[in-house]
Amino acid sequence: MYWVKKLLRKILAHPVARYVVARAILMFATIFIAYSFTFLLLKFMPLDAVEFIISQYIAGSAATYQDPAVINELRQSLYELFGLKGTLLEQYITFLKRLFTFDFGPSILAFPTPVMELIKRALPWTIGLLSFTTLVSWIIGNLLGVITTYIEVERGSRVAKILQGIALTLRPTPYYIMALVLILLFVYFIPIFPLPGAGGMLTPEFSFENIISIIRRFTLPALSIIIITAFGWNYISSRTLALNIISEDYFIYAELRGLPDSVVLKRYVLRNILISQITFLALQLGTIFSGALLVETIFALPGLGTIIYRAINTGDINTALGVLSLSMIAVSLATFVIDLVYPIIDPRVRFR
Amino acid sequence: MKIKKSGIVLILLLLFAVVTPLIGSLQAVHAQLPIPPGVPRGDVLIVHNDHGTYPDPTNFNWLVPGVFHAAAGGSGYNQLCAGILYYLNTTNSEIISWLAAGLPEYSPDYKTVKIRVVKGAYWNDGTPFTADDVVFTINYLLEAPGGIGSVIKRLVSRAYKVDDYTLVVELKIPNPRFHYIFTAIIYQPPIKILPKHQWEGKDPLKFKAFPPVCIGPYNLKAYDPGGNWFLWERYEDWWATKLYGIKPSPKYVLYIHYGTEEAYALAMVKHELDAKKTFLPEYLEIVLKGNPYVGGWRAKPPLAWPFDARIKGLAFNVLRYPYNITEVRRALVHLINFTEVWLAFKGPEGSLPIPSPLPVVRTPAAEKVYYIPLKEELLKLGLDPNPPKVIRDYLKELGYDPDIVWYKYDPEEAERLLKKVGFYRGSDGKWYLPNGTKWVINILAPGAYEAEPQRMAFIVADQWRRFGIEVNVLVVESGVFYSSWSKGTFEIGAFWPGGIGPLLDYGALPYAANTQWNSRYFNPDAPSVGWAAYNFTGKYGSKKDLDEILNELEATPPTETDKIYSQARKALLIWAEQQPWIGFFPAPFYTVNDRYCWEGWPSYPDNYYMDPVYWWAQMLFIVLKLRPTGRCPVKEAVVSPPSPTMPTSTPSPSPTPTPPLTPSPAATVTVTQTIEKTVPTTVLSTIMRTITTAIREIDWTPTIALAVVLFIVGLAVGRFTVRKR
Repeated sequence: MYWVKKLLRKILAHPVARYVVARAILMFATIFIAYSFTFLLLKFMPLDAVEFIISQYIAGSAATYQDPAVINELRQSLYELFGLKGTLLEQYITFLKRLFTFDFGPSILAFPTPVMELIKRALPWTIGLLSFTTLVSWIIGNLLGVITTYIEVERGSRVAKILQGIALTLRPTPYYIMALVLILLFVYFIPIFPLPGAGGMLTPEFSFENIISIIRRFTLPALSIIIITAFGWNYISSRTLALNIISEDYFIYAELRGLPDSVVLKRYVLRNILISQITFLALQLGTIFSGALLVETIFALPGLGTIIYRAINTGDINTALGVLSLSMIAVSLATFVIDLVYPIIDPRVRFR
Repeated sequence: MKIKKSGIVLILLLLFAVVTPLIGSLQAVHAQLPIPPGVPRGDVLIVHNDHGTYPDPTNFNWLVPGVFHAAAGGSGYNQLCAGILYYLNTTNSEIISWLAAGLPEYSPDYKTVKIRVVKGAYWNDGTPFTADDVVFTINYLLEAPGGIGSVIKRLVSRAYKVDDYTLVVELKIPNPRFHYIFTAIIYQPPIKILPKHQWEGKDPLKFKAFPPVCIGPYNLKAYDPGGNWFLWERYEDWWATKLYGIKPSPKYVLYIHYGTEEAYALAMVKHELDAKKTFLPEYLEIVLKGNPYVGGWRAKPPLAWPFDARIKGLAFNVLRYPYNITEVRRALVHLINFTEVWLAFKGPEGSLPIPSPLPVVRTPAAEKVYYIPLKEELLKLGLDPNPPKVIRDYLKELGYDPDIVWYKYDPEEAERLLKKVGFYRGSDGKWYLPNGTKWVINILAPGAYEAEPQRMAFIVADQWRRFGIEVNVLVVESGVFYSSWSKGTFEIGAFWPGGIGPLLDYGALPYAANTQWNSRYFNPDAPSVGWAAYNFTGKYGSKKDLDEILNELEATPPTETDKIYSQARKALLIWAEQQPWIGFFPAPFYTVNDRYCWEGWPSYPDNYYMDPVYWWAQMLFIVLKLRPTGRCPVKEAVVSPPSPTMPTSTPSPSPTPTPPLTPSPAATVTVTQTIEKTVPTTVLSTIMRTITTAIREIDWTPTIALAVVLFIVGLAVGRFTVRKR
């Protein structure tokens, strides 16, 4: 074991390695604590999946009489089936094991389909839609914000003012309204897109028809998210940051040096903005894994948002924890990656 | 400017990338619907998937109770595919024998049941449907672990086959209604027949039964892996086509979820939705404005279906103080101004609910059997002797007794009743319990989509407050509500306790009611409203009397209608005197349909063969009756004269042999077929004509889109070349 110690000491001697190891430990601790809290929260929810099923079974709208003895038997067997038997501590240990093996057991809401299968079904759509929209709106929003601000300050442009007006209007617009306006416009008045839920088949296979139906079904939802987020937070924040930078001394100095516009924009404005905007992007990408319930509901799309909503609503702790832990891991990982990337973007961090 | 140029190019490229494939896909007429290419709109029946997005659309295992599987009504499985022995005709309370050949034969002690199945039926993969399938289903459930098949486990000791078309079931306890567990009464039967050749040897806890093996007129053709829609294709060699000559007209049936109510409204306006479970009134208004072909329970407004299976209202937890005091409950009833509640449910096109003071859905049949005979006694119990004219007129127009409306709004009587049991009004004008604490009523109401009970709760709370009682309404998510409701941890719940839907047979309470009445069915772990355990004595009888009546009802075969009705009337009077819950009416259901592409929808009163229950298994009979209007292009839809009447069996005294089936009026060629000695069935052989007229609509959208793109590209190219120079 001596050599292990030696190796460790050697690695930790390097400041970068120390930094990485510390961050990694922090990440695992975050995941562990968040997972434990989520487990407890879900456990103390005033809703129990088995009781919910039983109440539906004996009092639901299509119920028939059930013998109490049979009901109790059903209750016991359901607890067993769903892996919910045992004391709180025993269950906690079971659920911890699940986190490490990434097998979250059977889902309750779609029993006997395993939780991982439900997640696998929904995940590609959620990731596809949300990573695309997050990236695109981040790029559009930031570019527009920086460029228009720069032009506005340098030359005084009306475009920038108009864009700002649009952004200020769109920022507080409820997403729901925007989505409905788009549906009304492009499904009813100019019918080039199908109704939500309609449109061709959605399969994760790669074929021309499939790409067409994916475009058909996902264009409007993507557009609705991009419009709101690009012109909303992304545009406004990058504009504010750009305004700050433009009043900095180093910027004025660059201008006085007579550097071309593109160099000033790229190296002096955009790069400085990136530091904070990348943090925002990374965190946004991390939250993708909890899905987008509203988008999924309005556009009848498969995704994690609907699953987590259903899971919580029916007390399906297996599925809820499965999806939520994915989200926890993603956010923690994203933060970890940002921490690693910071020194590369921002030289100041390197010296700390 | 470098930035500008590259920006324009980028945007143009993006636009091009998005628009080009779209244009390519726009050529088909109804390519927007998930149907095979080239299929015209007129070949497809589009129905609302009321379950929404399915987390796993390939899970057709319905055995584990309470889970989200596709073997139910939202996907179309129950309506188009499932194996169901009997259906209830909701319009006349009669049982339709479908896969069963007539009603079962019971032994005189009701401990063995002989069920015959239709000869000549087969699953859609060609495997014959025999008694083996039914026996297998029963035995499979008997052996299944835990809570699976609990109904069978409670009732059945064993089942065996006599011959290929006859089976015998031995029951644990005498039961003249055993076949109800195979009957689609409300929504679906508790037990659907499993195809033996698909399920044999499979683990009920793991098997997903995908793709489903059907015995209905359709097979699953495609489904959305995203879980929104299921496309069913007509099976041309369907057993009933061979046996009875009936064939559904739509080549495809699409069960689809369009997302929000707004999208559903748009879909119906665009004729891309033929049947919807129910619209919220505000959306119905939009639909009616945009689509003149919309019909509902009636062909013309008012459209709402007034006979939803459950009467909605407020239920007392009769095991909790002070709601365990009859006077308190009766006083609260007299503090309700019914007209206010009634008018709050007026639809945008004039639909109104039918007041139902008894826990019986007030169908025309129930009016005759229960409401009118009990009128005098109900008047004695406080029914309003002078109901408002507006309600009277409405009832008269429908052909109902206008004097049976609801309980009288009578604050004085309420005050008298409350003071009688020691309640008093304090100096602050509020009501106090006899022990001196302020009386606070807490009403629990389900949130989300259960809008009607919630609305009732708020109206009633307001009325009680006006009288000086403090009332809180707590709206919770339906999951929380259901748990609380079943555990009985509420004071007053806004929900739909207790009725048996369109059935008149009160011996079926244990099968069809969601609230139990008989104390032998009380479950202390799930007391719910507590009515089954509630002890009382009254003018019309005590708890013991009620139990005796209910026991007798259960022991009486459903065919002895006179006895059942007279006993049930006694039980209902006891209920009315005790008033364990307040039922107003079934909320009007805007179960509308679009008559643009399809006709033959049921409508009251002229074509009233079924209620508009598209999400119930009974929808099968609607699908069988539909035919194209000619307004939508068709290719493979069957255009036929009025489709044949289904084999209908009327109840007859059991254990005598199964009754004859009602012959149907013949429209064209009538062929009498004897399926089985005891079950002669007259069916109509329909002349099927398949017309292959593919009317091609010219769609200008792609052309316009292409023109726009070319215009933009041209402009950009022009600009570039000018600049370069």
